[in-house]
Formats: sequence, structure tokens, C-alpha cells
Amino acid sequence: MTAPQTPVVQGRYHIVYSLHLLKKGLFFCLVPLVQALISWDLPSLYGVLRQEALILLALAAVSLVLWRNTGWRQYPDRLELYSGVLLRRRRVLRRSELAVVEITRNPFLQLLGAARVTLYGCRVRQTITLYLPRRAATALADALLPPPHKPPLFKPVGGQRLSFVMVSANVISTALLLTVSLRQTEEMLGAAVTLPIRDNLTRLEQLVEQVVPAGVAWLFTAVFLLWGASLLVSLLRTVGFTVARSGGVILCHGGFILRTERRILAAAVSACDVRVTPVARLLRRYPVYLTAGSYQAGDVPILVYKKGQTDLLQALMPGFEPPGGPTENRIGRSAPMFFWKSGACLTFSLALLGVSMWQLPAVTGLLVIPCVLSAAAVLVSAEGYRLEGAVRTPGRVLTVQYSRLFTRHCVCVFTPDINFRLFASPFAQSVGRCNLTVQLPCGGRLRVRSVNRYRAAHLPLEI
Amino acid sequence: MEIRCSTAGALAMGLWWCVPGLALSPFVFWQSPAAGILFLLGWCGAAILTCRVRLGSLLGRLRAGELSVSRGVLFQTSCRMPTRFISGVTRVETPLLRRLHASVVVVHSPAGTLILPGLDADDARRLESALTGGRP
Repeated sequence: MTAPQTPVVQGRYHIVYSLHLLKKGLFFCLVPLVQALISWDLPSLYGVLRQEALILLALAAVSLVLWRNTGWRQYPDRLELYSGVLLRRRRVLRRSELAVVEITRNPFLQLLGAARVTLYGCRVRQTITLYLPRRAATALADALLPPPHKPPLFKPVGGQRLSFVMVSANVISTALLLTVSLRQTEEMLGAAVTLPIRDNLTRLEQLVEQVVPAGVAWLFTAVFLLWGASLLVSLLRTVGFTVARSGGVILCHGGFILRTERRILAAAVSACDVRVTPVARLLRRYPVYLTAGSYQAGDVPILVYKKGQTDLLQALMPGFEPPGGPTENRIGRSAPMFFWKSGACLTFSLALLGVSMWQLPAVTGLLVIPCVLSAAAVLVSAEGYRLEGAVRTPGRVLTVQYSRLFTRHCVCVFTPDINFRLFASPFAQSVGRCNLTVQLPCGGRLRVRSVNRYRAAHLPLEI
Repeated sequence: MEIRCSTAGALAMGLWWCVPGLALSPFVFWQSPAAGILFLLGWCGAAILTCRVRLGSLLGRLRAGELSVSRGVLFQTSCRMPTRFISGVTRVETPLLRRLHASVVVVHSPAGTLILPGLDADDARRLESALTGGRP
């Protein structure tokens, strides 16, 4: 029997961890308080306040007890996390299983001198989140994945920074975030708080209405606002963004309000995804996202490269193979599988446009927009019909190309730890075709439509 | 090494699929007893027949560092998994499955999970032994 190892470093989580536990209870306390405030019933408000003070004190005591019994121990080969009072829980993460260390600091954590450390393992759902003091977080990250000491590979400045910001902007996620936050504000504090925002929005729309018709003006205002907000978010996230690689570790850090630092073990990188978005097509600069273990491509791309100039990407990921031309023979390839969604949208939009020209000429201008968008989707589908496929390159890397909505994904899969799933409908079987799904360790799935069934069944799994 | 689903195993899986129908049947019995009986017969018949046909076509192969499993008659699916990265194998045996000498094997790997239902118990044991490095 071997003697128990003594930990190299050990410590307790930052006190903010107890606030994190308290936060869940706080939400339930606030709802009756807001209800009493809205109805302006002072006696019931005092009653609610007294009750909530007691509940909060009890919650704070429980959180503190839990925090006192929660901590981490770092051994040369593993990291141990323990928590719980009555039900004790111990989690062990071996160093060999670690893929990514992420340190994030939002303004609240910065104020308290804390940092949120997320450790991503090599398996699906193997993610651990810790709240540590800032220095302890950096020391832990340094011990687990030492930072590179070479000069940065990618540090966007000037025009490169501008294109990086534009390519990183995500209008859809910003729109969802704005909608959710507005709705939550209304639920918590009432519609009166968001009224000035709505008033200003209406004024802006009236201003746009001077130039374009009334229906289109709202659309223009919404797109302008969302695009502006997403660009601002992207601008703040990419302040001081740098990427460096040495000693088998890729380090990227940056951000102004939300400071993020990611250390990715290069050997654990499972796939490299080049996303050809509409903005990327216009700028001819493509964003690159990495997935490693359970880490699934963060909110900001790791770098942006100019079309045809893959040297930067090759320096970051030496095994990367640039996306090639068509790999699949188009004979027998199912056109409806690629075109049914975009084609149906285009047909419907054109039908609406035709009816509006005949019955409601006032909204014809507005209906041109879905027609243009659907036509663009049809073009992307046509590109997918020509290029979609999966092939092992001479460098033994699996390259997968597929299209979704307006984006074409060119993925280089480096890990041999993947599964292939094939699905063939009776129609596909008759022409020797099937859909191929590549399952990655991060839980991601790359689905390639209508590929040659024999080739898919004999595609080498191992590198 | 080749693995196939046993007839008894397919029957057991069909009986498992009858459970959701049994859970839903009170709502139909509430409308009329005849409709309830018809619904129950239809559901159970379809479940047993589908399992019999679909699992009857199940064919698993373990060779050259790869576990491949294909199934389906009309809608054919197949899965290929490298054995080098298999992180765990679970063998499930309920009293019914034990009586029918069948097992359900679940193969885990970081990239996904593969379920092999209704295998013959001996085949399941051999597969588990082969995937876990020869240990019983």
C-alpha cells in the first residue's frame, strides 16, 4: 500500500462562490418583493422584507458553511475538488485528461479580486467550474498548462482588427440576449422602465421613415440597432486580443469588460472549424474556431485569416489542411435534400411578392427582402450541393465541408477519437447514398448529406 | 467477431416498448373501452413487430480495431466506433432479460454512446470481455 500523496498546492474557493450559491435563493426572494412594491402595499411589504431577511440570513449561513467545506488540492498528476457537508463529493481531474483552462473575469469578479476558472476535460460534459482568487487562478492555470513564452502569432491591429471585430460579431446571439434581458427587466421592474427605450426606438423609426417606406423602416431600424449592438459587443470582447503558441499550449486572451484567457492544449485540439459566413465572404477573411475535448469553440474566433493565406493558421495548427474543391461525385446526389428548405422559402416569398404586387402594392418593397434572403440561401445550398463531403487527406487529416443556413463550415478533424454514423433512407439506398454524421468528443456533430455510401462505410476511422 | 440480436431479446425489447402504450391507454379507455382495447392491441402489435424486424436486422462486427453496428430494413443506420477509445461497457440484465437469456449492452466512448439491445447473453459477455481487454 502506498502512502497518500501530499498536495503541492491547496486552497479554498473565493468567497464569491458562496454568493454564487446565494444567488439562486435571492431570485426567489425578489419575486414577492417586486410584487409587493408594484401593488404598493406597505404593511405586506414590511412583512415580506422581514421574512426575506430571515430567509437570506439562513441562506447566507448555509452558503458560508458550504464554502468552508469546499476547496481544491493540486497534486503533480491530478487536481482534486471536494465539496459538501453531509454528502461529501470529491471530483478528480487527471492532468492527462485536461484539454482547456479558461479564466474569465467579469466586472463584478474584477471588483472582488476573483476569477472564474473553467476546466475542460477530454470527454463530453467533463467540465469543472471554480471560483478562485485571481492570483490562485493564474497560478493554477500556470501549473496545469504553462503559458507560451514566444511572441504572439496573431494580434489584430488597424484594418485587421476591424475585420476581426466584424467577423466576430454575432447578430443572432446579440438579438436573443437583448430580447431576454429586456423581457427580464420588464418582468422584474415593470414596463415603465423600458418605456424610454421604446420611445427612442419609435423616434428613430420615424427618422428612417423619411427615407424608406413605413414597413421597411422598422426592419432597417431593428437591423441597424442589432448590428450596432453586436459590433459593440464584439469590439469590447476583442480589445487587446492576442494569440500565441509554444510548448504545445495555445494561449488566447483579451476583452475589456469581460476579460477572458484560454489555454488550449494543442495535442487535445479535436477540430478546427473555418466558418465562411456572409460577412466573411464580403471581407474575404475567414474566422477560425477550435474545439478541444469538451470545449466547444468559444464566442470569439481564435484568429481570422485572409483568403488564400493559410500560413498563420498553419503556424497555429501545423496539421491544418486548407479546404479543397469538390470531393463528391454529383451523379445520384439528392438535390431535394439540399434545396428543399431554401427552395420552399424562396417559392413562398415569391408567391407572397406576386400576391402583394396584385393586391397590396404598398408592402411589395418589404417582401423583396425575404425574396433576396431566400435567394441567397438557395445559392448557399447550391454551393453545399457542389462542395459538401468528407475525405481523408494525404496528411491523414479528416476534412469535412458542410453548409448550414448561410454559413459554410470547413472543418479539419485532427483527433482519431470520433464516431461515424450513417443513415440511408430507401431513396438514398437506391442510388447508393447516405448521410454521414461525424461525432466529436466535444459533443458536436458534423452532418454531411448525400455522400457515397460505399466510401462513407470505408472511410478510415483511425489516423 | 459477429454479434446478432436474439429472437427472445427482440421480444423483450418489444415488450419494453409496450410500456408507453400501457401508460397512455387509460386516456383512450376513458373515451370508450373498445377504442382502448384496439389502441392497446395496435400499439403492442406494432411495437413487437417493429422490434422484431428492426432488431432482427442488427449486425455487429468487431474487427480491425473497430466496432461497427448496422440495423434497419427500410431506414438503414450504421455506427462505427474505434475500439481504442472505448471508455466503458455497461451490460444491463433485468429479470425478464435474464429469463430470456438476453442482455442490453451500452458501449461508451468520449465521442458518443452506442446501445446494442437484445443481444444473446453469451454474445454480450463475449463482447464485453473483448472490449474491456479480455477481462471477464
